[in-house]
Amino acid sequence: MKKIIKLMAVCFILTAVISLLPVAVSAAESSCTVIGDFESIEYNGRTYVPFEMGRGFLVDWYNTEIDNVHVKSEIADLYSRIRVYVYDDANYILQVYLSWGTASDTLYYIEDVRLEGCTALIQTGEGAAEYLAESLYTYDDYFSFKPATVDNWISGDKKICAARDLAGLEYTYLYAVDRGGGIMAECGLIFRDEDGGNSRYYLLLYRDYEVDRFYADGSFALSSNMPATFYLLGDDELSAQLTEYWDTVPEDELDWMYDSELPNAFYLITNGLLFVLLPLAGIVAAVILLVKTRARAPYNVAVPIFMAGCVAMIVGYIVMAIMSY
Amino acid sequence: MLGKLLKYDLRSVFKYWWIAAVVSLSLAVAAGLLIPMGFVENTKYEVVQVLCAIIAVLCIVGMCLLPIVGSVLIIVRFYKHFFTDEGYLTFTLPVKKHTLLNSKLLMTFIFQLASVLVLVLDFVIVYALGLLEVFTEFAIWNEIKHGLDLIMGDIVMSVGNMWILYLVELIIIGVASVFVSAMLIYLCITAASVISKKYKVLVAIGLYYGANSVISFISQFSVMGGNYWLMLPVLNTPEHVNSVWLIAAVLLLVAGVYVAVGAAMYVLENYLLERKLDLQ
Repeated sequence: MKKIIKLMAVCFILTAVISLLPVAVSAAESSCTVIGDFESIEYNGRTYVPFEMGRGFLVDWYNTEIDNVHVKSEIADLYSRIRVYVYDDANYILQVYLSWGTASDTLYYIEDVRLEGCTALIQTGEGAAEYLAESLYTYDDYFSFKPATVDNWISGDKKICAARDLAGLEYTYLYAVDRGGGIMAECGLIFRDEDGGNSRYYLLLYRDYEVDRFYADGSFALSSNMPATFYLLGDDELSAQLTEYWDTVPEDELDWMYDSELPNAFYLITNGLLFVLLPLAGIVAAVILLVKTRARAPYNVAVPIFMAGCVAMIVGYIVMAIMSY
Repeated sequence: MLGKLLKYDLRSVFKYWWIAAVVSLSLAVAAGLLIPMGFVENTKYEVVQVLCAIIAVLCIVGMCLLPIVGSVLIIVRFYKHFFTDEGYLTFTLPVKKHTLLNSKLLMTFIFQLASVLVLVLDFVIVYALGLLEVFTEFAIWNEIKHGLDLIMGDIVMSVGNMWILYLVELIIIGVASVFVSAMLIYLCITAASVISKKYKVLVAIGLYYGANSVISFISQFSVMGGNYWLMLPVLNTPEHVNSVWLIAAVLLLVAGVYVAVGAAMYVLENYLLERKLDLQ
């Protein structure tokens, strides 16, 4: 029996170690790294440095043809949109990527260009991108504002804190759209802090160097402990517009998610029956079984394991239920 | 005594399993050698190239069948050792019935693990012999590493140290699920032998099909309920920062279900073997 237990322990440890290896390697190398040996671009007195986003790939400047960089308007103007066309040898567009630049940090990156040996043709768009704020819970109705207002925004007070600190606030996504109205990329989050009758709005831009480890998904940004820079909106007119728009969103916008109260109650009862009452009944039955058959059932070790499983079910379910209310 | 039983169980299955493992490894070598011939451009012998590609794919499919072959061998061993003529001898051995069952469960776990390890080795062989040749220009290993980096980077960045808890829970779920799968099959075979004397295999298949349907229905229903009732409201509110704990709670619940169901099946199986089985 001891040999078996030893064998099982070795198997467990081996499995755990094998599982841990990729995790450990990835964890060690997943940090955001600035490319050490690179060529920067000088343009209009600014320096544009390629760097790797947390989830992006290296931009291989050596294999891109810098001569083919055509700049139709000022590159990396404050949050302007830049299209990156990647050609293969047959000279047709293989992939199109969007890139974003900030003038304040003299940073410039291309997102997700990972094809080596291809020609990258970098162009700005037809003009500065328009930014779009999605209302809190709607998916069809948008509140849009021009880049100029973003400019006003970031001139406001800065608040540097962990994204988690604003997790309790209402928020909405900020998207960039092209001229046709299509959403091109998610750019940040707008948080609303209700202080009495006054609403204060904070902007978190993903495409900023200081938040370069944040991902485009707001939920990830919110779950991060890393410090980020939030800009307080100082434009009263825009603030009023935002408040008006925000507050006019009907409260029942989320109804489509829940259909009606009946399924919730139904699932509450049935899942409660499955994951709380049934395990409780199981525990009672197990205790009776243990007491009655203690002397003549050496396989009773399965019974405590069964009870542990039941307890885990009940605890898991209760934690889930608490979190959802 | 468990050691001796396990030794004979392992020996009995290994007698055939090693052939399947060697065949699987051979198919991996064949696939590895055929892949460059089948997928590197060679216009001169186009027919040969297509044939090589097809055979390479078939070899890969064949080598992936090892876990299925292993499972079949394990089930056959269980059935023959307990419920055929051999069973009369088995149950006269001076051991408790739960010891016989423990031996079968350990054997199942060992062979499932061995099958997975051989499959991993298969893919290493295919990669080393074949894919390295084909994808020299694309640095496939770097791409895989990048992919892993992205996934793990996402996980580590978004959940912090919670991934350790997730990993522990997932290991428990993985190990428990192997036992539950095996126990379900064993239970169906045993129950079929209790119910029917003539058509044990047929009844066992029917019971397994029915049990699987019921389990699928309950799990689908629970997942659906969990999605609507628990996950959506949490993930769509600003408080979804708690989702890291929610995931831990969901995994704990799933682990609890597997452990409890597996243990309950074990107790039931023992009960059937001890009290209800009549091989006369």
